[in-house]
Amino acid sequence: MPIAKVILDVLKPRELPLTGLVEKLCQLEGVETVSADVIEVDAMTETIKLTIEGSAIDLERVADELDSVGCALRSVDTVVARSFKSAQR
Amino acid sequence: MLKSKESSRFIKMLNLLQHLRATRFPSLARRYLVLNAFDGIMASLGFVAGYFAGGGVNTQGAFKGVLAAGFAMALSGLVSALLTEAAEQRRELEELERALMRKLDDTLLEKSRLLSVVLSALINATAPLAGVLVVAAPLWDPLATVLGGASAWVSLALALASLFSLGLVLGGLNRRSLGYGAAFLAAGLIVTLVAGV
Repeated sequence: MPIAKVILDVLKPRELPLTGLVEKLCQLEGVETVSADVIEVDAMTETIKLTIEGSAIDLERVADELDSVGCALRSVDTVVARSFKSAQR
Repeated sequence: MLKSKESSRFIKMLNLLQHLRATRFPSLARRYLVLNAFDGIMASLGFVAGYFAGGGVNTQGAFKGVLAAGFAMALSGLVSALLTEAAEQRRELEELERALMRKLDDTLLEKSRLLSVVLSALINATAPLAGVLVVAAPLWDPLATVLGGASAWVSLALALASLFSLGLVLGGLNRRSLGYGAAFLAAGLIVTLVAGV
């Protein structure tokens, strides 16, 4: 069943620009929109809430991408799946 | 298959460079470039002024001396930057690992730091050598033959002009940069006067 929306709790290094991260995630297959909200700012890190929406989000691919840029995925807070029936409609 | 591998490598490299631009690397590189080019020009200016003021007449001897000093500065810059930057970047990365509570091996952050170490070392090595080469050029045999007795003066003039230009670049080529240029030029004149006494 394709995942249409996920909300992730992510700890990211401050030196990593938020715009670059969002752009990178947006380039993933099946992802249509990505929004990031900064929740907490620390000396070296930022806690962000990532909202990813799309036709078929590959959560593993998203996690790999976050890992490769040095972010720590703390939790998956929301997952919305779309049934094939509604996708076909 | 090979093409897609190459393009993915190219994209990874672009990402690395993009990340470097977003960090403090550009300002660090600029500082290294100006500081080391300044060092190279000043050292060779002192050498040339001292050599000819001390009665030296052999332009080839002066050329080799300046070049040897430039090579020594380049090697010193390469090794010192490689070691100090590597140690500093490793320390910063470990601090970040503690803050993120995860290892950062093989991530964009580690790779960009590695690239920054290599680029810093290269800048540290090539900047003084470039400065030295500018000052040494008029003493190079084919040019010295053409310039004749003026080669030492041309070398000094080029050194002073390079110092002034370096100051202009440091100031960002605006009105304030004239002050930097004048300060660098004054430092060069002091070295020339002291070496010439």
